[in-house]
Amino acid sequence: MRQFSQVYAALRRKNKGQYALLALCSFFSVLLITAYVCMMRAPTILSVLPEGGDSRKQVMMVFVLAVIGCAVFTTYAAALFFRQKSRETGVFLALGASRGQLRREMNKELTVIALLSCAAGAALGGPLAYGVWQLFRLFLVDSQEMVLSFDPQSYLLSLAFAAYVVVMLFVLGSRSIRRTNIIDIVQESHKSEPIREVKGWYGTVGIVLVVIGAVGGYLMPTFFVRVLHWYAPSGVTAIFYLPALIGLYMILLHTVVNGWRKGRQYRDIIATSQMRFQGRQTVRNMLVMTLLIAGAYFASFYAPMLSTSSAYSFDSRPVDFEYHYRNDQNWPQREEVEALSAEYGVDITFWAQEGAAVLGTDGTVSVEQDNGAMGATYTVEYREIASGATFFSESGWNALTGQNVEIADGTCANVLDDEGGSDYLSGGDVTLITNMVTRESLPVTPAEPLRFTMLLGCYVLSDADYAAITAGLTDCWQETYVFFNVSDVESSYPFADALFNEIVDRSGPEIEVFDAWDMVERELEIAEKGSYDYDSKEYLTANRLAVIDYDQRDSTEFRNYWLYMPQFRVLDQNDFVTTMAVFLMLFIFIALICFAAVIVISFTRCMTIALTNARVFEDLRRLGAPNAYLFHSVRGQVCRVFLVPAIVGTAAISAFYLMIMYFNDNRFTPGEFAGMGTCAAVIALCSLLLYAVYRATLRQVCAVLRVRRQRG
Amino acid sequence: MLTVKDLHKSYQVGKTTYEVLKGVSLSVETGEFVAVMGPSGSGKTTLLNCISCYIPADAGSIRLGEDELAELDEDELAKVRNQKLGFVFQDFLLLDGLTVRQNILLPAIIGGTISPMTEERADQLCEVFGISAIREKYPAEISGGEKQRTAVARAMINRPLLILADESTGNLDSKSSLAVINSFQQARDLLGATICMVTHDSFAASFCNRVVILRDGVVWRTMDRGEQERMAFQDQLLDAIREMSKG
Repeated sequence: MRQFSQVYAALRRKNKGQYALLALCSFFSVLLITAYVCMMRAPTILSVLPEGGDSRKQVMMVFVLAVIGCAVFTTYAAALFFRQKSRETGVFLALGASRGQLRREMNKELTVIALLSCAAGAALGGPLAYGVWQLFRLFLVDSQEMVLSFDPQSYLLSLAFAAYVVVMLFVLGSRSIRRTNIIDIVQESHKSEPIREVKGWYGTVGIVLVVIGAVGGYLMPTFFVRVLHWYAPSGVTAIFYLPALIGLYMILLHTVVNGWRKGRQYRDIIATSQMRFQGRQTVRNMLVMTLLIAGAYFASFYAPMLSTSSAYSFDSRPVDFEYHYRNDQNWPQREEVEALSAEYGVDITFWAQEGAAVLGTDGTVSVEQDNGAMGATYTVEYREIASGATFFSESGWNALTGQNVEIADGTCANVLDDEGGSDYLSGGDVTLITNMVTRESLPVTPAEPLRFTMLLGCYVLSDADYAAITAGLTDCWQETYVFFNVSDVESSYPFADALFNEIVDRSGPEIEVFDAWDMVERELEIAEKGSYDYDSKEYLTANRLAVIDYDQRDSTEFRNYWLYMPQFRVLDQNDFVTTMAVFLMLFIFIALICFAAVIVISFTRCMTIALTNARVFEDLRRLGAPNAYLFHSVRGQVCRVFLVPAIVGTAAISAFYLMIMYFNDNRFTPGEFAGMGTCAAVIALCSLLLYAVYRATLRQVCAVLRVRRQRG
Repeated sequence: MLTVKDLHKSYQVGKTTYEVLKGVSLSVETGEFVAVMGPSGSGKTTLLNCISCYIPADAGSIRLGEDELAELDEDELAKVRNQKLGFVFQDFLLLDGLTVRQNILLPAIIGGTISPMTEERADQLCEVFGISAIREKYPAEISGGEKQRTAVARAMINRPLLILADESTGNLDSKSSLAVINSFQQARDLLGATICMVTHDSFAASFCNRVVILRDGVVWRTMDRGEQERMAFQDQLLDAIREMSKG
């Protein structure tokens, strides 16, 4: 051994564990971020996440969390690496090595570690995302829109993160050598991370701030819109969540430094005081873990919540089959449907068919004013004809729904949903109705609302009023609603599928429109400016709105947003997973990534604590501490790293989710209750997984500290 | 060979300034074995760190051979540490990933002066300090005394002008301490080394030619051993320490 580089190589061989940990953390973080970015920016995914929509915001929010998490644990792994190397650096400097000499050798090492691990992470991130997606397709669900393609530009974000990792490694490496005081470097490994005093009120104030932040963050956007008539930029509304973040940090600080149970201060003195010395970094790690756990659960809840509440809504439909069509369309009539059912061996047991009319309704419209970076404001104007809605006659309504309502002349009843969970989707009360062909108007007063989820948003008039106001309507303003039941719903899927395809095949291009397309608004807009924006596919595409295409009839967009989408219970039940596949898989993927990051962070943090505390445990052993005491102290620390983020993260996201559901309509619907039950099962399952990781980590930490594991 | 004149050094801890060295002056001649003693906080380790070029002094002068240390830039100081100084640390500071022989050769490798002759010298040093049998072992496999003798051999590899030792017997039992002191004596007697050792141990100091006692950041007394017996010199040192304690 004659060269300085050979000395470095020998030390590298001896400390390969440290190098492996750093390389692994760099690789893993770049891999996760690349996989996430590839998935998030994939055209397949973007097409189902509407611009400005909640889903996209949620995905972005969890992405930011994942980036922060990965950046923190990589930075920490690097800091730990240089701290472990500081003794070598100090010895070299003490023996007369120049800083330039050391920098050259370290840069060689870092170049290899950083470039190889980042390049491998970036290169494998795409295939990982693709592979996981293909596994989903293979084992869980597949649909025509699930063919995943990647946007090469998404790699720019991945490269940006990799660049951060590389720069961070070189900056930390250079800083570790640049220290002017050799004594500090030599003694670096004996330094602890002291924590500033944490007052006793931190925990309580933290909880209050979390509640304020969660409620404020959730309600302020509504306040802005409803009271200030301001669509604030997402950055402004996000600020109101800041107290929640600060509160979480305070809760964790209080938990780590002070603890909540004063009586156990001395029993847990080693675990508590050691955690104090590990304080700052541990709390930061725990905060990131808490946020990632919350993000993971948020993503995990999406699938069970949606599937349970959807399953509940499918089951609670009063009829098996519903479809409605404009009378100018050549849709299957009763005889044709019966013939098709006979062909598939399906027995139709009930049939109801009634006419309805599309009429103009009065109301308010929002006139928006774009304020650039400050979002948009709007003013509300009353219009005698604001939009369109579907109207039934009293007798038609009763015949169709089996209800027996009486609507007085001159009144109009709005139809809400059965449970009241989607009332906000209804058009609300109207006072003036207009026939868009004859321009005749009928003033009405609101009657007691009716309940029927499948006809949510429709209106019912008395027979006399209905006859008067619909006189002279042409076919395109009239609709037919069909309800029918079959004897064996479970076996009627082939028939339902055939009927659905028949309906789509026979639909004309004039109704190839999404659910916000409004015939009345179209009339008004054409009269005003000569065209209707929602008729233009270019406009819809540019504004990331649903574009309905008969050739994509199995896509999420078509099934969820076609204005004339039939409601066939068996079709919806069987095709639900396929229809929502992209959403479900994306959120499962996000949950997996977040949990993977949590596992890596918690494991590396616990191992760091073990390495740092090795001397303390050796001293305790010399002082005669029994193994049971040592095990209790080890478990106290490892348990805290896992338990606190798990409890706080789970509690915070559960409370937040409950809040969202409650404030949707100021109540919990049975569908939401069912969804919450499933979410509780998800929490139990994920907690079991975390517990398994905790056990494995505890085993590893005990092995490092040479402490035997004990029961109890 | 080493001349320290009116050396001052203070530390800032929060808003408080602690003046550790308040004008220390001393000199060490070639071939001397000098101990620096003093109670905790007297400034002996700070003095050693200043001489070692680890920390800069606030004022005063340190001249090593022809070099005035305050006038040297960082690279030149590194060269001084490598070529003109040898170090023996309290907790050895051997690199766990290198064998005993590789640790001894490390200053030569760092300085780029390694040659077959240097390797031969490393083997000679192993012979002199009685560690030939363990030269291919790693630090984790050898005893504390062997580690310290390895550290002394490492300090000698570049034939430095001065060996600086910081509490080098502090972590050792009496037998190992004696072995290390013997190593220093061998280094001086057989290899012509000049040694400056910081210690609080009167037993270790009693082997030196001269003892400089610091108190409150200044040289309180300098004691020459002369021709007297080691034990008598140790008694003299203990009396001096008792006197210093009384105030």
